[in-house]
Order: sequence, then structure tokens, then C-alpha cells
Amino acid sequence: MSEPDAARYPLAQHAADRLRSHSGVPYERITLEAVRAGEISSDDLTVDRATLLLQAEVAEKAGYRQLAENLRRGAELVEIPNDHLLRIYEALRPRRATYQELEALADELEGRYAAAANARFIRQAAEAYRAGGLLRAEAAGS
Amino acid sequence: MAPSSSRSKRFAILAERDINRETFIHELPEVGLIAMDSPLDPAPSLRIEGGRIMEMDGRARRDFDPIDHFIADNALDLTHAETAMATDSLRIARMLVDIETPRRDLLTLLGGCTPAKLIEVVGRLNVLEMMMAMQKMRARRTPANQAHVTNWKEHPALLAADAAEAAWRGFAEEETTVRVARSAPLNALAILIGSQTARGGVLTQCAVEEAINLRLGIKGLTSYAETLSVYGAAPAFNDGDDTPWSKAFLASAYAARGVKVRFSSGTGSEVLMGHAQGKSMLYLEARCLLMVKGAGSQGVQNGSISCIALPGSLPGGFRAVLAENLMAAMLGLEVASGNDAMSSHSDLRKAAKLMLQLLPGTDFITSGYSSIPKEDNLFGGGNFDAEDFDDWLVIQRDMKVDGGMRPVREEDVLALRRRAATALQAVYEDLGFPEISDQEVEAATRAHSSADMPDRDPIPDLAAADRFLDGPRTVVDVIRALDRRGFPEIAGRLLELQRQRIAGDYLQPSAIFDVDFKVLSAINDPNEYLGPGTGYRLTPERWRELRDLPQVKDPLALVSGRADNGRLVLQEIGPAAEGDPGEVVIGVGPAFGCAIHQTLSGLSHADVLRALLAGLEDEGMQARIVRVRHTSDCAVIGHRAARLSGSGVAIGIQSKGTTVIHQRDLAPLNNLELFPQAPNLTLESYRAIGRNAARYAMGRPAAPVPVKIDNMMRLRLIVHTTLMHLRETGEVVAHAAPVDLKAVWR
Repeated sequence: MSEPDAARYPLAQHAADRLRSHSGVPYERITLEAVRAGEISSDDLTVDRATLLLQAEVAEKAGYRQLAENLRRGAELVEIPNDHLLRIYEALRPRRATYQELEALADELEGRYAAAANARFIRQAAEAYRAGGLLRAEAAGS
Repeated sequence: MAPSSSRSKRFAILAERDINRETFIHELPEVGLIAMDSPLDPAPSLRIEGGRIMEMDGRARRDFDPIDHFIADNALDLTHAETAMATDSLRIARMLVDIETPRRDLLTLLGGCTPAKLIEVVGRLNVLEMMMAMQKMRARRTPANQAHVTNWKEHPALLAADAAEAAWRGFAEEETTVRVARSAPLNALAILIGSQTARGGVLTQCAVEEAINLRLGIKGLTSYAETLSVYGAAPAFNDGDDTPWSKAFLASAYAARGVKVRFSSGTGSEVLMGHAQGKSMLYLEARCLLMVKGAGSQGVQNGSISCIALPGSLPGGFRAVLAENLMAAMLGLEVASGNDAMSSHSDLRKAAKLMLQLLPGTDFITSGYSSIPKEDNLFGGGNFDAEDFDDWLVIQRDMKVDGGMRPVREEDVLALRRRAATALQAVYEDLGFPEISDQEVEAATRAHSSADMPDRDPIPDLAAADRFLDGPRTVVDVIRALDRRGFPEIAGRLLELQRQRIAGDYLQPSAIFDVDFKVLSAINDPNEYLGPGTGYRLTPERWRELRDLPQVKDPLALVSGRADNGRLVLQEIGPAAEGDPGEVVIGVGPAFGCAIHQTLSGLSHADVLRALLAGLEDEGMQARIVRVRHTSDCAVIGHRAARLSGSGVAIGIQSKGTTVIHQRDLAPLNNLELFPQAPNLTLESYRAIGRNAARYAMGRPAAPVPVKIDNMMRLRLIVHTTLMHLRETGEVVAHAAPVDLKAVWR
């Protein structure tokens, strides 16, 4: 299947036939009738990685580079369960993690979820936290 | 201040005015109590080596704090940075107001500016220039507005009803929050159902702690988040228990779940937390905004927000607040531009401040118009509240400006409020939440505030909220319940919001949904203002909608009718000639007692004429009534009558009641006494006018008839005055000679 073209924004209007939910349900099959028939669960109502990458492309072309990068990081996080997302957030808060823990988190994101952009971002945080005193002191841990 | 015995009475009154309930202070730059241009603000600088920023705003990379790191590595566009930093700030400021320079070109250049450079640029603009720049730089062409929907009792039926009303009134986004944190899921549910009852596509959120906020979004109970606060000083960020990276990660997590995100910042927050480090509020805000951009947020709510009174206490404070809104737009961010927290005790000052954002238009004029009375506003907002709805609508009509709200009819609002509360009642019943009674639905339908609502037992409500948040149920169960219980249309709109999360179109900058559930964002509705004739203009349909307020009257209906039932008949008895020396002529206007029967203040012409005659009789003067037909002008009527009067003195009276005592020898626009404010005249005044006219005719002294001053009279009645005068002028017969009248009373 060819990817819808970013120039077809808004996708809901111009590329609806090619959109799918993260669970793979075609966008156009998500109807009240389908909900009524019990064919749609809340898992079928989440955005797909491909769609976010497409929206990133739309943003980039319109000159919103940083938004595009955020959407690409978001695309990588689609696969990650909610609780895990909240744990990563917690680790990034001030003095929650050591440098090594942040490094390990970045490795895990890269290795297990192919979340390279998020991994880069967390490594950047680790460096800045080390310089800015935002790491958890090793001794004070656990 | 002088002791009270010797005080100026005027100064004593001024001291009691609302404006003097505010606190104004001198600048104290060393702690950051300064809106702009602190001596401790750094000068702009940037040094790039090997594609890496090694120095920014006078600080070397090795001395960077975490915020510097974040900005340097994520926010600045290095390809344009050197050009931007080398361009004179005055030149960039001029480009901002230049109608030949498109927004897009400026975004590219400004993307390379450091925080210190940004404030240097906006510092070159006065407020009017900032407004011109805002008109060009805001992201979305079509302006919009956001509403606060909360109530002190956290009554779900009232939340739903108020959310429906706010959506119907035109708000594109609605946010609620909590008094008790555990209420979050049910409050979010109430405004979701309420808003979608009125129209599909209103975005909603519930401002609570970050983790819960994200869970609400994941459950489909909210469609945007606005809680991601950032601070421009590293210690303040620490106090907020976050870092730029933790906030940015949350932003990505929301994106991963298809939820729109807007960050939150604003001048004054850092100094309030004691961490301004001697920097100006605007410099710290520039750092915030670059973090917001670096985090990849599509937008921000700023404009000091809850700290507004702090910049407001300082010189140039509100200018700095407009400057921070503008800086956000200059960075390509959607701006929800404050005007939410109480900005002044003085209505005059509040309105003046509002104009800075309303007139140029921003993406959201307020980041929370209190659509409920301020007493019910759990954000501590209410700068403009439900009691100001009509004021706002009239200001839009006055200025021909779209402030994102529209007039509504009471019967429509009542029907929608009832439907929203009924839909929520059905969902509560379906999902096994504590009952919402018919009585509560009825109260919510008609309520103004939570004082109009019965109390609910909070314990079962909170228990249900806990179960809802922690359990497996999501918006899908809500959609099913609505559909099952006879609200398929609302169910369909909730589902469409979920579908839009799958499409992701509303993650683009400055996205809202229009009344047809079509996304409008900076991508497909970009602001391309380039001077007159471009950018956002009201369509004829929108202008008609904003113009035709329900209280607007048909001018022709205003002065028609009100016949006299023939109490006074003025019969024409022939051409008027000069009369006996013992008479005073009463000259009446062309419509007096025929086409028009009452003065502006509602006195019948029969009574007015009788009073004038009685006054003349009090002094023993004869009266003759003459109709002047060739003019409707009061002075000319009076002067023409005086030339006919045997004594040379006459009373001229227009149908609206304006009266003059005139004398033959005076110039037409001179007079003996003039009573220009007809509504101030009573029957007793008319009688006194009659007496005075008689005394002038007899050459006896006359003290002018006293009339009170009422400054509001003209304001109240100028429309009626104009219409009545037009009516009388319509009765004028050109060149017609005056005629004698015989008055017959019945």
C-alpha cells in the first residue's frame, strides 16, 4: 500500500481511505454501527505510527521542524504501553535517575522499541543532567 | 496624604476608586521585579562551532544551565542562526510590522534568534506595532476562544449543561479542572458529553496532575492537554519537579496517543517562585518559549496567566505581556493569550488590556474565558465571566472584530442544557454511577451557578470516579451508553473525536475543529496576512451573525404606534398672521399632536400643551397655537412663531418635547431660554416655561426655569431622539406657511 501524500492534509478528509488505527482497523470502518456491533474496542482508537510519521512530514514541510521531531518521537512511543511511558517520564524528572540508569533507558528504547530518536533525546538529557546537577546521586539511591 | 480634615474631596474619591485597590510598585531589577530590560539581562550573542552552539547570550557552553542546553540543542535553527543574529534587531522589528514581509519569511529568520535577541527585537516595538505584528504572526488565520467550565460543587449535571452552553456560544476549546483531585475523570466526562451535545468538534481537557492528565487522554475523555508548565529559570523548573526533557517527553507521549498538547508559561512565575535571578520577566519568558518550541509543542498558553497582576504592578507590564504573546507567535507557536486570571479591579483597565489581544486576534483570545460565574471558577479565573457575555458580544459588534463568540437565543440554550444534562444522566445510569435525578437535570437546565444546584453526596461520586479511572472502561463504553440510551448523535460526535485522534490532523499547529467538524490549523488555514484586504476578514455570514444580537431592535418599531386615542385634536383654522400684543404664540412642530402624540419621555402632547397654556394663563397672557410646517428645527420653529406673536415672544416646541422660548428680535439661533434635553422636562417644567414666556412678553423679570443635568439621558435616548426627529422631519412641507390651530381636548 502506498503511503498517503503529505500534501493531502487534512488526512481525515483527503486520505481517509488509507488511514488505519494502530490496531490495524481501517479508519473508514470505525463507525457507530461498528461500535454498536461490538467490533470496536478502545485499542482500535489509537493513532498509528505511520500516521504520526506522515503528520511529522506535513509539519516539516510547513516549516515546523521541532514539532515534526516531536511527532517522530511520538511515533516511536506508539508501541510502548501506557505504564511504561509514565515510568520513563518519571525517570526524566529531576534527580530520579542516575546517569547510568538514563543510559540504560536509552539503550532499552533503542533496542527493544526501535525508538532511536527518543534514545538520542534521553542521552542528551543525561548529559545535561550531569552538567546541571539533575541526576540522582548514586549513594542516595534506592 | 493630608489628614482627613484638610483632604481634597476629589482626591478622597479617587482613592476609593477600583483602580486604587491595585498595588503598583517601582521596579526592583535585582530580584527580577521588572517587566522588560533588566540591567542583568544578557546581550544577544551566539557562537557556533562544528554545528554546535558553543556560546549563547554571553554564556559559554561549559557554563550552560539545563535550560540553555535544551534551547541550544533543540530549539534554535542553526542554518539561519548566524544570519538572524547578524541582522539588526531594529530591522527585524520593522519587518514584523512591514506588510510586504510574509510571516513565513519571518518564521525562518526568527527561528535562529536566541532569547536575548528575541527580547531585543520586540523591545523595539510599541504596543500598536506589537498588535500589528500579532495580526500578521499568529498561526491560524481564523481566531478562536477557549472557555473555562467548572463549578464549585463539581456538580456533573451543571458541568455538562455549562459545557453545552459554552460550545453553543462558539468556544472552540473548553477546559475544566477539579476542586477535589479525584473528581477528574467524571468532570472530564461531563464537559465532554456537554460540549459535544451542542456541537461536534469542541476540544476539551481537564487540568490535573500530569500522570492523571495523560491517563484521561488515553481513556479518550479529553482531546487536548495544557498542563505542561515550563519556567525560564532552572531553579524554578526544579521546584516544579520537572525538566525541559521530562516535559518534552510527555509531549511526545501525548502525541503517541493522538492528543493535542499546548504548553503553559508566562511572565512573573519565576520571580513569584523567588528564582528570577535578576532577569526581566520577558527575558525568562523568551527562554520558556524557546523550550516550548524545542520540545516540539505546537503551541503555548502565555500572557502571564495566573501571575498577571505581577507584571501589572510594574511599569510597562501589560506591554510586556503582549510582547510575550507576540514572541510565541514569532516562534510559530499557537498562542492562547491569557486574559483568564483577574487582571484588574478596574473594568476600564481590564477592557483596555483585552484590546491588545482582541483587536489583532490571537489563536485563542483568552486561555480561559470563564463561561461560568467567577465564583464557580476553580482556576481562580473569571477576568471575563458569564455575566460579561453580552458585553463581549457588543464589543465584537462595535469593532467588527471576531472574538470567537456568537450571540445565542435563550430557548436554544435551555434546550441544549437540558439535553446535555439528560444525556449525562443516562450515561451515569448506564455505567452504574450515582444517580443524577430529574430534579438535578431541571436545576442544571436553568442554573446560573452552583448556588442554584442541589447538593450531592460526594462520597459515592468520588468512589465512582476512582473506579472509572482505574477500571477498564473508556470512552467506548460512554459512546455505547449514549447510543443505547437514545443519544446516537452525541455518541457519533464522541466517536468522531476518537477518529480524529487516529487521523492526527489536529496535532498540527493551532488546530481546532469548525462547526462542520473539519480541522482548521496553521497548515490548511494559515495566517497569510499581508496588509489591508488580506488575512482574516469576517465573511458576510459571520458579520451578520455577530451583528444581529437578540436585543437588537427594529428602528422603525421603536417610535411607531403609541397613539393618543384622540385626546388632543389640533384643527387647522387658516393661515397664521401677526396677532395682538397681548398674546404669546406656541409654535408646534409639523408632527406635534398629529403624526406623533408623545414626547421622548412619554408625556402626551395633550398634557404638555395644556401645561404650557396653564403657565401662560397663570400670568394672564393670551395664547395662540400655530403649527410651523416648513421646518422641524426647534430654533426655527420658535423664531418663526415669535415673528407671528403680537408680543414678539413665542414658545417653540418639537414633537419630541424639545422647547425654546424665543423673541422676534433675536437671531434665529439665539434664544431667551432653551431646553435641549426634552426627557428632563416634566409637566411642571412645561408650565414654568409657559409662565416665563408670559413674563418675558410682559417685560417682567423671569428666573430661568431650572432643569436637572442627566448625563446618561443622551446615551439612553439618542436613538429614539433621532428616529422621532426623522419622523417629524418627514412631516415637513417645504415652503408651507404657518397655520393657526384650534386645540380640542376630549
